[in-house]
Amino acid sequence: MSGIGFHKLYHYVKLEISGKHRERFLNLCRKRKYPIWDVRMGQEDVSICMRTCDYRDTFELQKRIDCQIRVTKEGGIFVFLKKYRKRECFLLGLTACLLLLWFVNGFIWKIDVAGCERLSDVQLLNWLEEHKVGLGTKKSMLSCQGIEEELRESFDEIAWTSVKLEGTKLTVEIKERLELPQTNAPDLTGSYDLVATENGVISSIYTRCGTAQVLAGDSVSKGAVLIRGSFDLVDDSGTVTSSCAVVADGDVKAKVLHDYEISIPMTYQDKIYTGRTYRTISVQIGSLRLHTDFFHKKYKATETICATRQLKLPNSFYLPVYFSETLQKEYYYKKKTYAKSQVEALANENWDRFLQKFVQKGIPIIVKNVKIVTDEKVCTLTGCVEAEESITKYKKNHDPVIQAESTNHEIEN
Amino acid sequence: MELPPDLIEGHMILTAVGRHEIRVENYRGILSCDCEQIILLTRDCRLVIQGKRLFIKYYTAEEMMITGIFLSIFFEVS
Repeated sequence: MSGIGFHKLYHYVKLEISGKHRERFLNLCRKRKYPIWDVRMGQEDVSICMRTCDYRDTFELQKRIDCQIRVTKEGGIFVFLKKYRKRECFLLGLTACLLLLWFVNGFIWKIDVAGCERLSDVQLLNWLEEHKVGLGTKKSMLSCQGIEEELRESFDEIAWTSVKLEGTKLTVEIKERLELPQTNAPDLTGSYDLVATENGVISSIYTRCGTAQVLAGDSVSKGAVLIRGSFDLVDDSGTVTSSCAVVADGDVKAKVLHDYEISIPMTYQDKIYTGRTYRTISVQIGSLRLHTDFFHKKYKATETICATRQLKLPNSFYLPVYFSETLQKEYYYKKKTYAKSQVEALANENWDRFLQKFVQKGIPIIVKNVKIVTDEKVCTLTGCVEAEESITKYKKNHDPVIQAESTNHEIEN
Repeated sequence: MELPPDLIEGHMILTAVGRHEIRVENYRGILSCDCEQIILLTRDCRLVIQGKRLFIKYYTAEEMMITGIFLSIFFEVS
C-alpha cells in the first residue's frame, strides 16, 4: 500500500503497547480508520507505528483500555529536518539536489525504439531529431499523439505506432506492414511507353494496354521500346483511322546477363594483439566528460571496446549521467600471405553474397558461371549470372495523343 | 447479474503469496496476536494463522498484510 509509505515519510511515532487488551487498542484504531504498520508481536508487548496526529487522538482510548502505551521513537521528514537543522550546508545541498532532480525530470533523457525490421532504429532516431525530438527535449513541448500521426504519414512501412512517455524515457514502438503499399504513380496524362532498363533477351511479354513492339525471343538493348503507349483505331475495312494515346501497361521479363569480378591480393595486414590492455572509467554529465586515463601510457594502435550505462532511478527516471568502462587492447599489423585455399574461400564468400542479392529480390537465376584464377600476387574471381527479371520502366512518348488511364510502373523523368 | 459475494455478503478475502505473505480483506478485527499465532475474527468464523516470526506489515480499515513463515492456516467455526 503506497499510502503507508507516504505516512512513513510524513510524521509518525513508534509505540510499545503492553497489557492485557493490546489487541483491543489495535481494533479500536482500525475502527477509527487510523492506519497502523510494522506491528511486531513480542511475548508481553506489541510495537506498532502510527501517525503522530492519530496517536494524539488516541489519548482518550488509552484510558478506556487496560494498557500501557509508551512512545519509543519518532520518525518522518519533520523529525529528520529538526535533527539536522544545524547542518545548513547538508540541508541546502539536499534541497538543491531535489530541485535539480525535479528540473531534470522535465526533459527527455532516453529514447527507445522497438519493432523496426525494414526500417532501422537509426532512421527513426534521425527522423525524430529532425522533428526536434531528441535527448534534452522538454517534455511539455512534446505531443505523443502528434508524433504518432506524423510517423505514420512519413513512413509508408509503418502500419501502427505508439509513442509513450514514462518518466524521462520516450518509447517509440512501431509495427511494419507485411507488404509495402503500392506507390501511387503520379497522374500520367499523355502517352507513356514501357522501355527496357537492361540489355537482354525477352523471355515473356504480356501486354495489358498499348502495342507490343517486341516478341519473346527478341534481343533488346537498354532504352528500347517494349510496349508503345498508343494503339491504332481501325475502321471496318482495316484502315487505320487514328491513333489513341495510352499509358502502356504490361509485364515484360527478359534474360539478363550480370557480370561480376573481384580481385583479392594475396598479401594482407593481419591484426596481432600484444596482450597488453588497460581499462579506464569515465563519467559524462550532459556534454561534459571526465576520464581517468591520465596516468596510462598511450599505445600506438589500440582497439577500443566501450560499455556505457545511463544512470537510472526507479520508474523510468533516466538522468543525463553516463558511466563508461573502456577497454583498450594494443595491437600491431603484420604482413601475411593467404594460402590458396583461404583466398579462394574468401572469393567464394563474396560470390555467394552477390548471388544472395538475386535471391533476396526473388529473381530466379537460370545460369551461373564462375572462374577463379590464383597466382602469386592476386586471386581473381570472374563470374556471370543469367537471371530472368522484369526490365520495364516508363518513358514519355512525345507524339501528341489523347489522354488515358495511368498504371503503376517505374517512371523515367 | 452476479454481484461479488464479498461485497454482498461481506465474506473475507484471503490472498496468499507463497508461504511468506498473506493479505486479508473484509475482516472484523484481531482476536489475538503474537509472533507464532494470529487469530482474526471474520463474519462467520475465525481465521487462525500459525507460523514463525509472524509480523503484521500494515493494518488498516480495508486490509492487512501478514508476513513471516506460515505453517498452517485454518478456519475455526465457533
